[in-house]
Amino acid sequence: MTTLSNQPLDLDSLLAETEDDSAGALVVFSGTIRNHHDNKSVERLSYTAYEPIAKKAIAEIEQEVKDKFGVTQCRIIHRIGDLEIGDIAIHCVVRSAHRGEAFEAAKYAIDTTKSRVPIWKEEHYSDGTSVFREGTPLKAG
Amino acid sequence: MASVQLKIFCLGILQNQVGNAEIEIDWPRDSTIETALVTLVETYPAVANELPRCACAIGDEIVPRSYQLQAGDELVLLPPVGGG
Repeated sequence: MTTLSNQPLDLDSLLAETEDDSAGALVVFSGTIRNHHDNKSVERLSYTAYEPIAKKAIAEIEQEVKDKFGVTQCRIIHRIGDLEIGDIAIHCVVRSAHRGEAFEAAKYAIDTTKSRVPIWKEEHYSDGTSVFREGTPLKAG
Repeated sequence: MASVQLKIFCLGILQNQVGNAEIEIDWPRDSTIETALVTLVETYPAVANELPRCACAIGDEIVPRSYQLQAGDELVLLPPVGGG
C-alpha cells in the first residue's frame, strides 16, 4: 500500500482500495496548498520526509485509527516534493458503519499524521523568502 | 580514545542550517549519541537552538540519546514534524 508519493495523489484508487459493503459512512479529508500564511503570500510548498520511519508511522496510525474508533477502513497517503497552490498534499479516507465514528476517526488520523510522521514543509513566499513551518517534536519509542 | 567517522543525516530545517543533508564528524569510539551531538554543535553552531527539539533515529527506529553508537551506524536527526 502506498503511503508516500512524489506524484499527484489519486483519490479514486484510494476509494477503490477501501471499498467496503459493510460501511455506510465514507469520510475523506484532503489537505490542499493554500496561497497564504500569517498574512504572507505563499507561492509553493516543499515537502520532505524521512521515508523509513514515515511509511512505518503512517501504517501504524492507520491501524491505530481502526482499533481506537472501530472503523473498518482507514488509509492515509501523503505527497512529498514541490507542490503548487491548490495541489493536494494529503488524503485521509475513513469508512465505517456509521458517520459519527468516521468523522472522529478522520480528524484523529490527520491530526496524528501531522504530529507523528517525520514530514516537513517549507513555505516559499512571493517575496523570495522561505520558512520551515514550526512542528511537533517526535518522541522516542 | 580512538575516533571514527560518523555519518549524520540532517533533515528539514537542519539541512538548511548545516548546508548539507549529509555530513560526517569524528566521534570517540564507544560513545553515545549525546556525546556525538556535542561534537556536532562545536562543528556546526547553527544547529544549537534546534537540536534539543530533534529526535534521533538509526535506520527505521527512533532511539534515545543514551544510545551507544556502533561502528557503521548512520545517525538521522529529525526536527519537529509538521506535514499535512
